Amino acid sequence: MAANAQPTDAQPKITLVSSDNQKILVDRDIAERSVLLKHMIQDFGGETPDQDIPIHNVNEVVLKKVIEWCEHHRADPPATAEDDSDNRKKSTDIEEWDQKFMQVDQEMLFEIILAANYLDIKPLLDVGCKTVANMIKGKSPDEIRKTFNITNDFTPEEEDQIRRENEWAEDR
Amino acid sequence: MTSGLSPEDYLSIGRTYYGQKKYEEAAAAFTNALSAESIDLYEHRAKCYQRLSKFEAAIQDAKSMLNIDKKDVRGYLRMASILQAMGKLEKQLKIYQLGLKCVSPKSEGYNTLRQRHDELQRKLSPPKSVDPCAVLPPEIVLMIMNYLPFKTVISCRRVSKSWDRFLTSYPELWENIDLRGARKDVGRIFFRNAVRYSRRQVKRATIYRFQHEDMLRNFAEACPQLADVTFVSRYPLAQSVLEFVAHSASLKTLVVEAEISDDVVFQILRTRTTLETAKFPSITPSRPDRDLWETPLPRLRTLFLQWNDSIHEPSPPAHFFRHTPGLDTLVLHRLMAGFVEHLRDIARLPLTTLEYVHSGPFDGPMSRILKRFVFKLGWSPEFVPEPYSTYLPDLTHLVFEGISFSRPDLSNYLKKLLEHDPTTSEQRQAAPLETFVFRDCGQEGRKVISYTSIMSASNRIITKALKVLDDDIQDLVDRRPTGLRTVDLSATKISGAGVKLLVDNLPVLQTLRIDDCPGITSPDIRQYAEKRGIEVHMKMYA
Repeated sequence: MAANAQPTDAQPKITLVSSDNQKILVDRDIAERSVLLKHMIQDFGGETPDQDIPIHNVNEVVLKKVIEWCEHHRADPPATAEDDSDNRKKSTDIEEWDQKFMQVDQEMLFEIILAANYLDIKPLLDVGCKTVANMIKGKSPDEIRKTFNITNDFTPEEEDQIRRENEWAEDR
Repeated sequence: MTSGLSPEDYLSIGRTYYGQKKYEEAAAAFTNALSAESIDLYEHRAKCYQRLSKFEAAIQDAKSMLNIDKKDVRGYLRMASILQAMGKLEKQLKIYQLGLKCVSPKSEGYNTLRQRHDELQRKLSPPKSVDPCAVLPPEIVLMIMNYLPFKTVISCRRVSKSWDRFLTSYPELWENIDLRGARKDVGRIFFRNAVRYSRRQVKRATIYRFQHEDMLRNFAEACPQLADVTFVSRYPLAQSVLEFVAHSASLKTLVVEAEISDDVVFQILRTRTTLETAKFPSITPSRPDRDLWETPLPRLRTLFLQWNDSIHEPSPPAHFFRHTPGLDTLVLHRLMAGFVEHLRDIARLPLTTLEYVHSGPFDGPMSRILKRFVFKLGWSPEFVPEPYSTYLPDLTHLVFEGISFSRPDLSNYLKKLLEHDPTTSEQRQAAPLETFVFRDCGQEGRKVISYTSIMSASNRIITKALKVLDDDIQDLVDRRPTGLRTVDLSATKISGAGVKLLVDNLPVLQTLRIDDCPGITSPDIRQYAEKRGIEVHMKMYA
């Protein structure tokens, strides 16, 4: 896995410890794609900390996956501040590498999203959310249930009531 | 209709009617008895075939059951059971789905059908699939929902009770009510509830297929924060649009894609003077009341006025643009003839964008801070621009289309527009032209490609439909326009040799578009350009 790739010697390195107590050595600039870690490192007075940094909420498998993403995107320019006041729908286009990266089972996908949220890696969180959105887009309620293994717990009357209220939005 | 009763029941009903000499009813009952019996018989035979693994024959019988009565649940259950025996589970699920659609929820077998459907669906779900609403925190589910069109969010309510609860308890999901793409009229209940779910915080709406006129007014009154509204096309009620605008006190942006008369346009502008952006892309000409045009509109910054037809009869909108001192973007399509006389007022506006399309001859002076100037003519080929052309130092985007320059001094005109005149006192450095489009402008267009100062200033040329030849390319590279980054020579007559000239002589060329060039006969030239790191778009001429 890319997370184990040899960090270049010039880079200061940081040891992260996953929730299942596994040590992972990463380049500092890769760790700093996470705003949480960046702030933690700053708290060490800007010096590269030589002690281990525990990541309590993320296990080794997921953490390595997240680091793999950070390594691929290490040269990305910092994200431009999005205009959050604009609530127009955003595009769900995902670049090819990220699409392939997100081809994992749903459990893993949601773990990655949670880790990106915890570690505060906004672009990864966005890619994760877009991936889930694309799993919903264009599907009927029944197909969505099938995708996520959800039981339809409405009575036929209840479902029919919602259907009637939103008849204009029915595709068929 | 055979649902519910057995053949014997129908038989006895038929006999009773017969006894009462109600022959029509009796005949109907016997028909039902026949159908019910044949469904029974088909079912029994299908079962036998199924045991014998004669699946094709079994399926034929199940089909016959459905043909006799598609509301009878037995046909679906039998078909599903055969498909299951054949291992065709996806098809089996489809049959359950079809059954759930056709069979009445009140009929006896519906719940069985529903249960089997749900079981199979769970079985077929991808391994390790999880309900995102159950495992992700609400703020992340909200982020996901924000990527979905409003229509999809609405239909997601039917997924499960917890999805429904979630989607209706976050007002931010209801801030932008977008009815575009509605297949049916939007009902009152939807509106009442949408406003409720939004906690009256709807900020933006795209309105289409309203069932009742009064709903619009109620909607405007119930949503005091509504700032941005679009009426999608084929929305016919001009008066209710007007009433809506009158009741939307916070409205800043209004787009009426539907056909609307200019009379109503100016009534709207007068009614809601808080508007900052107003776009009317489908105006029908009428004779607007002179007074309507005399309302001060100090907040208006963006205005699109696009008439469907040009009318040549003078109409009275004198001095309109004296009332819009803050206008920054103005788009005019098929302007009424009477309007043209007052174009001089436009020059006084602080415009940075002016699009002037299919309107009368435009020969007034222009705003000196113009950045985008789009000028398209569909008629009136006589164009004599020279007396009024203004030096526009900030211009970055220039589009000419369909203008047959009748004079050979096109270059002089462009020079005036784009180049500082050293004899005047003004000492401003011109902004580099980023986009220059010159389309369908006749033979004179060829001169443009040789116009050195444009070539070196701009980093993009688009010369569609010009008769560019390799000679012109030679001419171009001889002038060393080293700053060119994007070149579009689609539909021109250049050959591979011309492309090679460009590739060899333009050191910073990044993108080359050469679609539909009949002179380019081999795809090799693409590789040649791509080897030098140039992005090539090339659709071979067919």
